[in-house]
Amino acid sequence: MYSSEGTPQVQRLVDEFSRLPGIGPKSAQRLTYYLIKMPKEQAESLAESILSIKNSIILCSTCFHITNVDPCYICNNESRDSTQICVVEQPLDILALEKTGAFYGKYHVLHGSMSPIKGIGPENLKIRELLERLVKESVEEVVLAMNLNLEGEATSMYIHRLIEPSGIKVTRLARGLPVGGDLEYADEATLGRAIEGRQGI
Amino acid sequence: MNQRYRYYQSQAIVLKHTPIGESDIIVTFYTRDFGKLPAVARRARRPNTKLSGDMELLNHLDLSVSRGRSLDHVNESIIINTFKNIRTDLHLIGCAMYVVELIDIFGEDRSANKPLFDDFIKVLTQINLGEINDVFISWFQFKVLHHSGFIPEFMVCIECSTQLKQSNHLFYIQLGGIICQNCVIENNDYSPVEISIENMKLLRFFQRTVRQKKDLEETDLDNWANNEVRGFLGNYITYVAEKDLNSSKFIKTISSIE
Repeated sequence: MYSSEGTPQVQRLVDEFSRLPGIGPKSAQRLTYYLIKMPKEQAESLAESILSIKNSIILCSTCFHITNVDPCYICNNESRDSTQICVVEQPLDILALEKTGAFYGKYHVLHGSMSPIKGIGPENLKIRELLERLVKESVEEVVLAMNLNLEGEATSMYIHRLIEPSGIKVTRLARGLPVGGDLEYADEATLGRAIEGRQGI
Repeated sequence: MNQRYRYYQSQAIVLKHTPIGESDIIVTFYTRDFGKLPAVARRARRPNTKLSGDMELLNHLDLSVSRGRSLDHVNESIIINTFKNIRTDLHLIGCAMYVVELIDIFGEDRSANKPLFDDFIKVLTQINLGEINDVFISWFQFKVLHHSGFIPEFMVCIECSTQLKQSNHLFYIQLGGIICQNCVIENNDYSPVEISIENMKLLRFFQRTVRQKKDLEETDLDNWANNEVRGFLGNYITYVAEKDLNSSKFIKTISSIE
C-alpha cells in the first residue's frame, strides 16, 4: 500500500472517506487519489454540493423526511390523502414507495427500527411524534411499511399496540414472493408467508 | 477448525447483522462446531436473493461457509427452524433477544461449546412454544454462566468451604459466591446482596441440576414460580459482562405498554 506519510492532507482525506459506510481503507485511498487527479472545478463542485447538503437539508417538522423546505413537498401537497399515513424506517424508503405510484397518502419517517440487541428503543425513534400527529390530524389508516425482519416486525407490533386503543385502522405491507422470483429459489420463511397470505383470484 | 478445508459446515443460529457495502451484511452466527462466527452474506439485503430470508435473526440453519481472506463467506444455508411463533409476539421477541444477547456476550469466537449451543436451541424452542417464565430464563442464565466458567457458588462458603446452613445469606457479586457468618468480610468495596431462603433453594437446585447435567422438568417451572432469582442473576451477569444488557431495557419498555 502506498504510504501517505509526509502528506497529512492526503491522509486526512483517506481517513474521512474511510468513515463512510461501505468504504474500506483501500477504497478510501483509491477515491483520494482519484480526487487528486480530478480537475479543480470538478473537485470544487463536489465540495460545494457536500456543503450545501449540510447547510440546506433539514428534516420536515411533520413527517421527518429530508427536505430543503419545511413542511416538505409531500406534506405540503393538498391533493394527497391526509387520512392515510405510511410509516417507514428511512427517508430512502419513501423514494422506493413513491416510485411504485401506488400510495397517495402521507408519510412518517421513524429514522430506524427498534433493535433490542443494539439498544435502540422507541425513545430513539420518531414514535412519540407519530402519536402526536395522530392526535392532531384526522387520520383513518396507518400503513406500517417496515423492513421485513425481526426489528421491523417488533417495531410494527409496538406501534400497533400503541395505536390500537385509538381505533385507527392499522395495516402493514403484504409479505411473500418478489415479482419475477422463481418459486424454487425462494427461502422457506418467505414461501411460508406467501402461502399464509395467499389470495383468491 | 481444520485449516486445510476451503469449505466447512455446521448448524448455526443467526445472532446479529451489520450492513456492509451496497447490499451485503456481516452475519454473526453461533455455530455448534465453531462457536461464534462472523461471515459475509453477499447480496443478503436484496429481497429476491435466497440468503435474505435465511439470514433473518434467530433462524436455525444448516450453514455452509467458505474461507475468505479476511472474513469467511456464507456459501449456502438451509433453514432448520425459523421459530415462527417468536416473531409474532413482542414479549417472546424480548425474551429471545435477551437469550441471544447472552450468547453474543458469553459465546467465544471460533471456539466450539456444543452443550451451550444445545441449551440455546432448547431455550429458543421453549420460547417458541410460548412456555416461558422467569424460572426458565433464570435457569438459562445459570446454564450460560456454567458453560462459560462464571458459575457462582451457592453450596459452600467461598472463604472456608464449609457447607452453608439453611438461612438467608449474603452474596458477594464481586467474589462470585456466598461468605458464611464466620468469615464475613468488612470491606466497603463489596456490596453484598441478601438472598432469601426460598431464592437460595432455587439457586442450589439450579447448581445441582447443572452439575448433574439434568434438564428442568415442567413441574419445576411451576414449583419455583414467583422468585427474584432472574433479577439477581441478571445483576451478576451485568457485573461479569461489564455492561448492561440492551435487551433488558427492551423487555422493560414492552412490559410498560402491556
